[in-house]
Formats: sequence, C-alpha cells, structure tokens
Amino acid sequence: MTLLKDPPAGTERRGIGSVEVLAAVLILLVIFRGPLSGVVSGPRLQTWTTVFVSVLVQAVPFLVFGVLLSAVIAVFVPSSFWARALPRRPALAVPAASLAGVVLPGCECGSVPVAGSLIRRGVTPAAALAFLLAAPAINPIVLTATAVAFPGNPEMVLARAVASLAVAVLMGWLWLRLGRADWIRLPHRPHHDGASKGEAFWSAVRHDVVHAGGFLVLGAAAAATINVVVPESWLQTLASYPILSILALAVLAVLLSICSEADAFVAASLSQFSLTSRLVFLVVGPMVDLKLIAMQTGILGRAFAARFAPATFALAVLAGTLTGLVLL
Amino acid sequence: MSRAAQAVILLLLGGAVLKASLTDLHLRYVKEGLRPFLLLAGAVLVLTALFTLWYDHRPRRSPSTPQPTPPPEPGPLAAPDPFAGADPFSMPDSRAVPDSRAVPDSRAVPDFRAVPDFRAVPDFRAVPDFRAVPDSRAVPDSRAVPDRLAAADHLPAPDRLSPRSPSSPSPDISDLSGMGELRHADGASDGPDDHAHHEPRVGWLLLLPVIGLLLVAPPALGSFTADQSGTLPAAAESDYGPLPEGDPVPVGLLDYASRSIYDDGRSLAGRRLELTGFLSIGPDGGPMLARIVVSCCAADGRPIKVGLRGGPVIDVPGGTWVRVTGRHSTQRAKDPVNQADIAYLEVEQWQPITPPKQQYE
Repeated sequence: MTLLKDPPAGTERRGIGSVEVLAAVLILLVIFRGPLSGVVSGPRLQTWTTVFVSVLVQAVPFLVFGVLLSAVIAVFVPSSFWARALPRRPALAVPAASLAGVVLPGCECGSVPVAGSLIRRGVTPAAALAFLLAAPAINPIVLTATAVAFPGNPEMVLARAVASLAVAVLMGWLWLRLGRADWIRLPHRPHHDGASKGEAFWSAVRHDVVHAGGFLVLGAAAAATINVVVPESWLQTLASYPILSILALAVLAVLLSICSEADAFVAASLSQFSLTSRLVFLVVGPMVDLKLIAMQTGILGRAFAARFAPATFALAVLAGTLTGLVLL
Repeated sequence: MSRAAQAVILLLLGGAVLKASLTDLHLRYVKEGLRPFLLLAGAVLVLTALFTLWYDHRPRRSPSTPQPTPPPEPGPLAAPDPFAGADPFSMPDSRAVPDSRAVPDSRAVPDFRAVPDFRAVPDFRAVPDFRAVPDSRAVPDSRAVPDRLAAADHLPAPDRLSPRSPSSPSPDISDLSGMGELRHADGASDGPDDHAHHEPRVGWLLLLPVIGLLLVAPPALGSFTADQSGTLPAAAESDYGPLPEGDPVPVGLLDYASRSIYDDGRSLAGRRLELTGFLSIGPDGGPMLARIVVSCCAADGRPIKVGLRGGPVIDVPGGTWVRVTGRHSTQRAKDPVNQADIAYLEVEQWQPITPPKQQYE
C-alpha cells in the first residue's frame, strides 16, 4: 500500500512541473504577442509561417483520423483478428496488406500511427510496412485526384497505381528477407492503465496525437523551409536533362512533403518535366518525405527510419522510372 | 511532459483548429472543402484533452490495491496459469484492461495455434514476441533470448515489485498486470528512463501551430510567392463554353488565361471582363494581376498571372488587391521563371478593393 501511495505523489509533483512550465510559456506568449507578430513581418518569413501553418492545418484532420483508427486497432480489435484476416504466410500477407491499403483512404500522416498499431497487435512488420506504403499512395481519393490533375493522360493513374503497389509489395518482401525486428522501436505507449476500454482508447489517442503531431510539426517546418528557400528557376534548369530531372523531382518530392491528395496537382503544374519524372514524383512523395521520415523516426524508431526511408526511396525511383518507360 | 500538460496542449490545439475553421481563418491555409473535417478533428482533439483530464482527476476506485503480490506472469505457452484462473475472481478490474485480457485470451484461443507456423518463418520470430509483450522496448531483449518461452521467463518478476527499477521490461509487465502497478509504472512517476520514454517531449512542438494559429495567424500567400514562382501553365480544355451573362462579366484569372491562350480569346471577344487579384510586378516591370491557385493547401499554392496594359496609371504598391475591368488583349509574354505564357488584359478601369474572403483561386 505504501508502495502504491508514493508514486501518485510523484505524479503530482512532476505533473505540476510541466504544467507550470506550460503556463509560464503561455503567459509570456500572450504578453509578448505584439513583438512576436512583429518578428514575423518580412515577406519571406511570413510566407514560411503561412506554409508551415497550412501544412499542419491540412494534415491535422488526417492525423487525427489516422490516430483514431490506430487507437481502435489497438484497443478494440483483438490480435486474433489479424491472425485470421491476413494470410499466415508472411510472403502472402504482404500483398494482402498492400491491397488493404488501396481500400482504406488515408493520408501518409495517418498511416504511420496505424502501421505502428498493427505491429503492436502482432501483424508481421513486413505486412504492416507494406500497408504503410500502400495506403497513402494508392487509395481511391488519391487516384481520383491524379485523374483530375492529368485529364489528358489517364495512363498516369494506372502507372501511379502499378508503380506504388509494386514498391509497397517489394519493400514488404525486402523486409522479410533483410529486415530485423530490433530496428523497430515503438515508443512506449501508455499502457492501457484504466479500468475501461474507453480510458485505454483515449489514452492511446492522446499519446499518439502528441507524439506523431510533434514529429509532424518538425516535418512541416522542414517542408516550409524548402518551399521558401528553393527557387523555382533551379528546377527549370534541371528539367532539360532526362535522368537528372527524374532524380530532381524525386528529391523534390521528399523535400516538399506535400500531402498525397494534393501532390498530383503539383506534379501536373511541373509541366516542363517529362511524364516519367513526374510519375517518380508521385510514387516517391507519399512514401518518403521529410514529415514522414520525422514521423517514422518518432513512431518506429531511428534505426528503422535510417534504413527504411533510403531503401524505399531507391526502390520508388526505380519502380517509377521503369513503369514510366513501359506505360507512359 | 505530464498528461495534464499534454491535455492542455491538445485543448489549445483543438481550440485553435476549431477557431480557424469556425472563422474565415482556415481559408488562408486550406480549401473550404476541408472545413467539416477540420471541425471534426478539432472536436476530437478537445474531447481527447477533456477525457485525459477527466480520467486523470477522477477519484480512483482501486480494487487491485489490496492484491499484495501480483501473480507471476507466465509465458503465453507456459502451462500453469494462475493469472487466467484466479484473475476473474480476485482482480475483476484487470479483466477490463485490454492488454491483460489479451494475454489469457491469446493463450487459450485458437489464434495462438498459428504461432508455430509463424515461427517456422525466420522473420516471424519477432511476431510472437510482439504479441506476448506489447511494448516494443522489450523486443531487443526478447530477441536476445532464443526461445519465446525463455523470453517470457526472462522477464523478471522482481521488476514488477520494484517499479522504480530502470530496467526496460518493467513497464511491459505492468502492462499485463493489474491496475495498481500501472499507476506505478506511469512515466510521470517513475525513474528517469521511464520518464524519457513515456512522455513524448516532442509534444512541446505542438505549441508552434497553436502560436501560429492563435497569435500570429499569418496572411494568405501573396506577392512574395507570385514573384518567386512562375505562373501556372494555363490548362488546355477541349471546349470553352460561352461566358455567363453580365456586363462586365466576372472571370477567374485561370479561366481567363486558358481562354486567352488556348482558345485565342474567341469566347472573350467583345465582352467587358472583370478580373480580381493582387498586383504584382511583371517581367518587364509593368503591372500584373496575380492570384494564388491552391489545390489542397497553401503549400502547393502557385500563382496565375495576367499582364495589364493600357488604362489609367496603376500607382498602388504590389500586393494591393484590385478589381480590374477591361477587354481581351492579344498580347503575350513569357514568365521569366518558367517560360510559361502570360495572357494580357486591356485595362479600362481599376479600383483597389479590400482582400476577398477567399483569396485563393
């Protein structure tokens, strides 16, 4: 009993600590509100702030819905469900999970916590990772957006679906061969310490929003910086070299970190680039970008992100280029 | 960061999102279509904060406190099973804890028969570990132990009794056991190791969007973006219908540019047109009318520019919003940034206006 009495006191002590810090920060912010908005006055900084805020505002609903879905998986779906729903052989579970990603409309911001949740619930990491890659890249919303953005090139939709699906499945299989479970370090989720599923659910939501949201902020800041700093005229110069233009757009997709629902419109507007290089842009973007890398680092661990992101990037560039050569 | 602090931050974030979506603020950053989702997301964030505070502060029934020594946690395949047996009666509460439930279930239930199959596949060794120990921090440890049974045995019981021990499996076990321990293993109350892992310190960053939305509220993209990026290549459509009735008839900049460039202005001929946008300086130093086209959020915003010629001298600074009335001009120019065509408008008159609610096209 004494054992149990002590820690709650500790909880309070430390809890008040960070709440106090928070209160102090907020009071300072309100006091210095005038000078603060004065700082954000130069056009460049103002544009940075606008892009930063808008990336976050755009991502928040997808993040919240993704987190809700992942909390449902974590709390309400029993592990036995996944054992029954997915083929037992991991090599078959990978394509099955990729196809599940096609059906579930989700943004990349939401799919990272969902994948983390799936791994927690005993789904083979390879299948969860295939889902992570497939869900944002080839769901119905994204494919429709692509069709709208490329009215003259319907083959672009097919090419995007084929290339993205191929990358997701291949990455899953690659993980089966080379992946190691100890690369993945899921953050300790606050044990469902309540008496009810309700409490466990909200605790999971709270933890994932704060965790994934924090990394989303990092990614949004990086994307806003690139958006403001990289002049468009550089891209113009690159567009005239066929191979360089593919690599340039692949890197741009990583740096810009545009939501997969929107990237087709951006790709369409990069009209000086070849269709193949724009396809690579569309295949890489939803699978590897700054905010995704930040979130994967946070949710699946640094050792994981450091290996997974470059491998996915290389495979996505390759698959995009090959598909482009065949289909476009 | 304690749960209370996280709740406050979530409350602020949810409030900021709700405020932005209830006012016109969100139109500076995203398309109007996202609004219902923003409202919903904001509400969920606020709810999460409220539930966190409520669960944190509500008086706790603590039925598992009297339980003096928690039953040892056997490996999922280990035979004698005091947990599953005694559990329903002696610690009714822990049955409700999802994870602890999962353990007895998975032991008794068919799905675990799958395990041997899984294990046959090299990589799959990880999976049972994950399942047995929900917390991944245990994964490296359990991998080090060749067999799963051994892994489970390896989780030391004493750890549970000394929750301040920094060794990593302790919270995992708490995960599986009664509620009393769980209060214990809470990051807010434990040793420094747990502290770092339990409380996402990165969550402090969520204050930045709160500051951005509530205190700074940056303006919509404007002339800086218009100067830096090339004009949007006008979209070719197969069929340009006649303009709607009206004199002058309001036309969007993108529509005007497409009709002018791809339809040679046929559908524009003979009409008085009204274009709205902000002023920007053209490649030749002349005035241009610009507007930012956004397909999803401001991060993908690109300008569409229409050159202005003739008419009264335009003497307001760049970035000023104006409404221009005029007629189609056949003049063309190239945007120096991306070599795209820029259409021109023959100005008849112009007037400065207050920026519209929806600044993007």
